Amino acid sequence: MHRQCTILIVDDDENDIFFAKRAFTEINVHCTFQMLKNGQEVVDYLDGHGEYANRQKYPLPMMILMDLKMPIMDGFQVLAWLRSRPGIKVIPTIVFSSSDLPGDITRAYELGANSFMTKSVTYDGLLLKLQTLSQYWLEHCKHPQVAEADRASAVA
Amino acid sequence: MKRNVQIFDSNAVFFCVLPEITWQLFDDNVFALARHSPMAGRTTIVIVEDDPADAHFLEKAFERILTNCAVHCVCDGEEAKAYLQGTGQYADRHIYPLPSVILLDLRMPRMNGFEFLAWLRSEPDLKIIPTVVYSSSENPADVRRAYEMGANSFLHKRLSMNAVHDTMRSFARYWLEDCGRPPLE
Repeated sequence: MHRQCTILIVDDDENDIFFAKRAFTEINVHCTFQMLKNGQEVVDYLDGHGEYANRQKYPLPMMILMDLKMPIMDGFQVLAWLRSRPGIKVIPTIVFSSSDLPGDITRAYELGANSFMTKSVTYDGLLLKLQTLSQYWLEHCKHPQVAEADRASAVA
Repeated sequence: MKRNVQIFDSNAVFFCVLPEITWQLFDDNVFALARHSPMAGRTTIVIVEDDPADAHFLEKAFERILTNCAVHCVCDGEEAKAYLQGTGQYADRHIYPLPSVILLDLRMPRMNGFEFLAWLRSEPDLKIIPTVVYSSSENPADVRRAYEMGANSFLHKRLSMNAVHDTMRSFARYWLEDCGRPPLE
């Protein structure tokens, strides 16, 4: 049921990345996951810098799952950058943060996050959240066509 | 929310703390308790849908799926705007609270879904309300435009009651149970 897809998981915490990938495998999400460690890597990936220019190996994602507090470039900065980029600005981006502060939630939505989920402290909790997330986004939602930022004018 | 209530009879005065009630004076000596608006403080979904059949499907689906959540249906973008601005009949926020999430059709008279999104995302206090487009459009350009204009996600209108139920159950689980939502005034 899950279409061919690439999902970016962006988190500076290796444990969180490990458990997210494990949870997705357990709930049978057959997408390709690309793991990135900070916001700068997201920019490099989406703009096709360096090794990410190889779109066979690193296709544009259909969805981004992103932490907030990261070094070099945090989630808020990525959102602000992403929503200004033609072509890729429409990629559904879900903030997945340990924060549940109303200020962080508000700011994320203001900067264009499609939604905000607070990380669970238990693995079972993580599993349930990612199950709901996968079912909603991959089985029910329609996704926008995405184009490279520098070729955005070619999008119909 | 709790309220302090004074109950008088001819011989005594009682003080009680009761949840979500108001009381009305019937006569000099008898006080009756009337239920305060059942909508006060409840999670609320606003559905923006001009087709009565589609609106009916959605309301029926939510009746089965949701507990303790209010659903308000408005018929197009203009009425949705009035609801969110709290004008006219929508002035009473106890009866018509700001929604936690909006379900938005695209093709509507007076103000369509795209126009409504453009307006919503320009309103400083309202722009953060999660808004999910719910449309029968199969056109990828519509899907893309909806996301570009700030839709949080896009759901395709389902044709059978069971399918509507499945989609809305996933919608409710995601937006009302699992997602963090921005605080509303």
